[in-house]
Order: sequence, then structure tokens, then C-alpha cells
Amino acid sequence: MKKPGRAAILIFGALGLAVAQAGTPPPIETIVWRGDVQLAADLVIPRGSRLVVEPGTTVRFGFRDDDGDGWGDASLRIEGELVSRGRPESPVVFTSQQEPAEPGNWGEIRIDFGSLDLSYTVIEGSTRGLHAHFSSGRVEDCVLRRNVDGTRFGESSVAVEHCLFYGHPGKAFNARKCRNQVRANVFHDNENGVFLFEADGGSAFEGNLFRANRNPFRLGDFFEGVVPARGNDWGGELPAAAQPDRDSGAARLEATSGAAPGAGPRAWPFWAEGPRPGEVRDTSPPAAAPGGAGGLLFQADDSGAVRAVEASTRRVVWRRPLGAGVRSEPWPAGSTAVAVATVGGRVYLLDRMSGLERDCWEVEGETQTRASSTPERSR
Amino acid sequence: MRRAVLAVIALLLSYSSAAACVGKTLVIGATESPESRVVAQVIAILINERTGTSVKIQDFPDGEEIHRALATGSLDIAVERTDQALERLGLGAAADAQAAYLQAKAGYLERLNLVWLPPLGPAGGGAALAAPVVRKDTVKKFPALPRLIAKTEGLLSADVVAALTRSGEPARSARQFLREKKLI
Repeated sequence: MKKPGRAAILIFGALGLAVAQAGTPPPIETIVWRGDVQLAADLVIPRGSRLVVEPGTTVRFGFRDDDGDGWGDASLRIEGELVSRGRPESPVVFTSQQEPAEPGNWGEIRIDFGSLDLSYTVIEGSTRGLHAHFSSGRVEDCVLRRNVDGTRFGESSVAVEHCLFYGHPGKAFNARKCRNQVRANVFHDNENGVFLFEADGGSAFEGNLFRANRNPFRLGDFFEGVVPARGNDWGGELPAAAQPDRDSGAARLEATSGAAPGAGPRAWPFWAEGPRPGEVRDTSPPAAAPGGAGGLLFQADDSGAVRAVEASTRRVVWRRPLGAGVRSEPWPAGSTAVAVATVGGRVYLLDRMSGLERDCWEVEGETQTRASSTPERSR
Repeated sequence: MRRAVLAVIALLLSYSSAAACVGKTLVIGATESPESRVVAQVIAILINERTGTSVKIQDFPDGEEIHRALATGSLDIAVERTDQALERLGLGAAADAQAAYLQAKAGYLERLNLVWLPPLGPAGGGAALAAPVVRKDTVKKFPALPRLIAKTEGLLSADVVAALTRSGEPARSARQFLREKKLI
């Protein structure tokens, strides 16, 4: 791989590293991102180009509101190929320059007539998440969290498998006239888990796990047709009404229950059973002193952040802003994570060694009791 | 390599990242008054959020221009007042607000192929009602549209609309309003 030329350094100085790979078959031009990439303006990857985002890369979008709706619009637009393949311990993260990322901080990753290949990629804090038209590809073992909408797929064919969707105030998975394979995903704490517009082109929705979503599976008001969603773990009753206040029989969801033992990202520790509506989770530390295993101490500071400090040297290993005051000192959650509760009513599950957010859920009420089982699972 | 980089840079353009998706688009007319803008936003967000259909708000200098665009097919949806509608139809004042609404509804459908949907609420400055009006051919293309917009029936009186304009951020206020009413 060539080193970036002077022009590249000048132009992409704020973007980290961008280089074209030599020796690849024409006409594909490859652009590689690694490290910390800052996007202040919209960026288009044109047709005939491939953007490769390497494991551990963090892409941060600035805030820009084009239409005055209070939500960010800064975006990355792909007309060629997007390849973003992270690893469980070093995922690719698309996030905002603001920490912590909250819904609507930036616009979207838009793919038109292109292809996508994503694994162990986190997309958080956007307005429209992964937004694809007439595109195809796969999204595996990814985490989409706290975007307004996690996806917007139109007339596309995407395999979405073993992903984790949570914290979306709009639609976690949102599609129109697609032929998607939506399997073995976890949807929890979203306003809408799956939302289909107008029509579906024969998608499969199987083996997914739904917990604590206001509407686990919803069909839009203009939707017509029958959608099979068989063999999903709905966490109780089947979603009887696809559209809670719709009085038309033109749309029907055929849902059946089944186990979803392998749902969610593989080799990604997170809460084994997403919180159920009305369920109270523990947010208080255990009776024993908070976690100090592995030579790290975990502390909350006054600015609403948690940090890991090396016990012997007091060196700060990582620091994670949570945007709200912390209710108590973090406590160990299994062997690889720490849990922390905020006064804002969230419980975060953070990677012990890196501070990476593995999962998060909302809690209700002020009085919590500790969950009886380990709050973590890892595959 | 430089060629590749420059190709990307050449496209570092401020393209519109509008939320518009591929598919049908509906157009709503609005004037620049804060009340008109916020009502148009409520209807646009309601439709977009619940159906995925893209909705464009088009600006006009006044209500007459909006009516003309609606009647000639440049617009799909507008919000009109019953008193102004009766005037356009050359009809005298009705006995009450409900009678005015029914007269306007019948006249618009018969003469203009425009469909009045259930009223949003009392319009400001008199006993008139404000209501969404949709082209008949638009209703044919979107048969579920009247039922959807009708969810706003009685929710947007002049007082409510005035309150929604206070923030100066019509899109944000409209979205918050719809959330509070559990419509999106």
C-alpha cells in the first residue's frame, strides 16, 4: 500500500488517513480509513470506489442541521462499496463528535446503488443510521444504538444477522419494498423494533429476540400485504396488532414464537435477557467493594464519566463520558465488563479493559433490586 | 493514488442529505406564517413517520396561491379555512361552523375535485374551522391517507397552533407534539 501523497495529507489532514491501494483490479479505487477520522462536511465515495474501514477505526461526524428539525444531517454517502469489518475487541465505530452520542447528532451512512459489507461495526447517534437504496450486502454482528432510526432500507437486499439494536426513539430496523434476511438479531428498548413501509418484497424475519420495545414489529399505515415473522422470541405475547391504532385489514403480520438462543452479536458480551417492560433491574452496587479485579479500579467522576484507573500507578486507562451523573460506583459484571447506573435512568455495560459500551438499557423507578443471574453473556 | 483522492474530493459537495427516500412524494403547501409552517410540519411528519412516504413542504406567498396550486395539481395537500372556502365558492355565511364545513366540503368536491378531511379545530379570528384539503386524485393514489390525516381531527385549534409556534422551531415543535399525542 502506498503512503498517502501530499495532496492526500493536506486534504485529509482532518480525516486521519486515506490512501488508495495500489495493485487492485481496476476500476475499483480503494480508500482506507484507520485510526480517528473526523468528518466535518458531507463526504461522497463515488461509484467505482471502495471505502475500507479498518478494525478499531472511529469515524466522528460533526453536527450540522440543514432543515431546522434539530437533528444532524452530516453524512457519509456511498455510491460504490462500503467495507467495514471490525473485530469484537476493536469494532469500527461511526459516532458523533459529541460524547456521548445521542440520537440525531449526525445524519446517516447513505448507500445508493452500492454494496455494503459490515461486521462488528457500531453505528450510534445518527438520525437515519444505515440508509440504503437499491443496494445489497450484509450486516453481521453489528451494533446499532441510539440513532433516531437504525436503518432505512429501500428496495434493497441485505442480510442482517446477529446484530444488536437498542435505544432508538424511532425505528430500529426500518425497510420498504426490500428482500432482506433478518435473522438472529436482538431488538431491545426501541420505540419500534421492526417497521415496514408500504410493502415487503419477501423478506425473512426469523430467530430474532425482542424485548422492551414499545412496538416490536409494526407495519406502516400505507402497508398492504401479509408479512410472515415466524419463530421469533417475542418475550411473551405475540405482537397481536401490527399497527396499534390502525383499523384496516389490508396489512397482516403472521407471527409465531420460537426460541432465539443464538441471537445477537457473536463473541460480544451483553445482557443475556434484555429488560422487559416494567421490569426493574438492579442499579445498585453489590455489598462487596466495587470492582478492582485485573489491576484496574473503576471510578465515577463528577462530570458524568466513568474511568478505569490502574491500581498500582493510578494511570487512567480509559474514560467514558455518560452524559449524566453516575448514581453509584461501577460494579463488576461478569469477567469482562463493569456496570454503571446513571441518574438519567440508564444502566451501561462497559468493557472492562477498553470502556467500550457493550449494551445499555433504561430502568424504571428509583428502587431497584439486583438481578439474580449474571448480567452478562459471552459467546 | 492522487487520482483516487481527487475523485473523492471532487465530490466533497454539500449534497442534500434530505430524508427523502425513493418512492412517492407528497407536497404540502404552506405560507411563511409561523402558524402555517407548524401545521404543515405536523402533517408532514405524521405522514412521513407513519408511512415512510416522503413529504415536501412548498412555500407560497399567501393562501390564495396555495389554493390555486392545489386546484391545478401542483400540490397534494393544503390547510384551508371554511370562511375563505365559502367565499371562493361564492356562498354566503353558514349558520354555524359545522354547517360551513359541510358546505365547503360539498362545494369543493363537486366543483374542484378537492376532498375536505375532518377539521383540525377552530381557526383563529372568527368562527371558522381549519381543515386539511387533499386532491381527489391524491386520495386515489393513497387511499389510506384520509384516515391517517384524520388522526389530527380536533387537535390543532388556533390556541394549540399558537403555542406550537412559540419555540420558533416548527419542525421540532411539531415532532414533539405528535409524540405527546402518541401519533408517532
